[in-house]
Amino acid sequence: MSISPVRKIPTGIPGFDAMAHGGLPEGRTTLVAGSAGAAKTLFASQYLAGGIRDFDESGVFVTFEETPLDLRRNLISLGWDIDAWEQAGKWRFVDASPDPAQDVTLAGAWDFGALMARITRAVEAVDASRVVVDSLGAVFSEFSDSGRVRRELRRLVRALRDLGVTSIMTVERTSEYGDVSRWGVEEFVAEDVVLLRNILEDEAARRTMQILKFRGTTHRKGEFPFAIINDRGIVALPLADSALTDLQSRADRIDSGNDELDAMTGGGPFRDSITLVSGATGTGKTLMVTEFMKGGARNGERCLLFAFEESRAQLIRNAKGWGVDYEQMERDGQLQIVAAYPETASLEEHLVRITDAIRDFEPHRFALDSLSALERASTPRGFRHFVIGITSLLKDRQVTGMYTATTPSLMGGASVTESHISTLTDAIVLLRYVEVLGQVRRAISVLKMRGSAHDHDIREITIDADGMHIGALFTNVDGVLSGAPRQLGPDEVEVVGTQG
Amino acid sequence: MQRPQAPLELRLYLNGHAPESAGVEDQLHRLFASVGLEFTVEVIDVNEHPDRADDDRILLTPTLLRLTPPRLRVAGDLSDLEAALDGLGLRVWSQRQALA
Repeated sequence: MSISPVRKIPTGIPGFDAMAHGGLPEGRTTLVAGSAGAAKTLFASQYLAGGIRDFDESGVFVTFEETPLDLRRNLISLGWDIDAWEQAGKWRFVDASPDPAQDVTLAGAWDFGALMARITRAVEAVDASRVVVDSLGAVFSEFSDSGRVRRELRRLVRALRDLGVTSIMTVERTSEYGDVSRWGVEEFVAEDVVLLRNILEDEAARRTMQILKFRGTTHRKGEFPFAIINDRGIVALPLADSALTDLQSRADRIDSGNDELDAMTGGGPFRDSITLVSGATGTGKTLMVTEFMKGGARNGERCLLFAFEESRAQLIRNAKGWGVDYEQMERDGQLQIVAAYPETASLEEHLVRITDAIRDFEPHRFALDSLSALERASTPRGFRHFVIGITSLLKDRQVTGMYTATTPSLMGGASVTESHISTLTDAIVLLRYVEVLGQVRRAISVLKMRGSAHDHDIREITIDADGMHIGALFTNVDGVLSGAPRQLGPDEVEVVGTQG
Repeated sequence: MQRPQAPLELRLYLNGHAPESAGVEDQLHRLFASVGLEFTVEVIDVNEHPDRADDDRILLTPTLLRLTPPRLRVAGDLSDLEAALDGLGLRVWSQRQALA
């Protein structure tokens, strides 16, 4: 006897199938468990919609909770015309929702014979290969005899298997990290379990999904963030840890847009590297991004800029002030600017938008200004997921990246952002204000340059209508980076001076 | 209250494959005999007519529908006669008979 390997059915839910190494195990029932509002119904609906849209497979939706009318209305906002699919014989509801006008009195032993007959007929009528049962919790609350309900659901799972369909059953959980389900359903839908979470962390909500188990077949482990996007529904982000493990930087180096900076970094950024530019407000981070974009354009590369601090008009005006014509670059197809407010969407939604833009525009360079603006509207874990997500995507596609981070204090100090993500970046450039002889001046230093020698000096920068200029060493002050610069005495200056 | 003159109209959904449905018709006769009422019943096997079960939104078998107003429904094999009398709105006749 040969044991055939478990085949997978792609759900069509973006990102999930990659997590699931292909999709849901064919011919079986997967339990999708989650607390209230965890998007179980959406997940189940999207599985059917994906089947119809992407694979020409029909589906049956057995609803115990919402009425078909409500579901049609809710799902049309995602651009799914269930009505049309029903008429085309692609989608069929089995309405098992409670009828408010008809109370049922229980008087003795019963089974789900009528329900099963209706499901069987619906599956045959549209030749369905996908079935959704939403939700088991509603069944348990409708019928008090939970022992009988459990026995009948077990039979339903068997009946679905005999029909040869691949199905999803949703079930409620009471806590995000406790038992799989409230009613011990996992005892009989035990082979395949997916958990959806809606976690409230530091007053910010974060959604994740996790494949708890797939019997006899592989899947990615751990929690992955997901977002719910207008017009698209659930978009999972299984980007983490894909490319970060293999950091074989190509020796290929590129033009950062500033020759003096390239000299400091020992030849410019590596093609698939990420540079973090950190500094207080006004030290020149946005300017450095602007030069990075300019460097791309003058080498015939496409550049994508996501700006979360300034409006489009502001960005264009600023760039013009430094001698860079963003509008012309956009007309030439060399630049795409996306300006957004961090608070308008969740971090996961921003990540989906960025991912889409990178896929569509296929840039050689990507800049994000600033990470700190996004960090303010997120949780530490969510933020780390986000940075890992973008970083792995950029590396995967060999896009050169630049992120900016704003330090909270004007003089020195590390930003919160840096401490979270410095290990994810290949190069770190610090921009600092320095107080020297009663004047505030700006300093630059390359703190880290993975895979290359670099200048360890702290140099002065000046900004004019041509952009940024990197000048001489700060020879007469000490403690610039710490934020507590100290004037050196004449003797010390001499010592330092001879070295520089 | 007037004792109904016409027989009560009923519809019975059952599952021809299941033990829960096997004795339900006998039990139905017993129930109506106990209250001294007439009835007519349309018996539907859900496996043969799932579309009828769809129309009436039936989940459980057996399910008995009282079609003569007030419309009511009772699910189960009617082994719990008291619950069945309540569910079909026949309790009142059961008490009259007990007094007589």
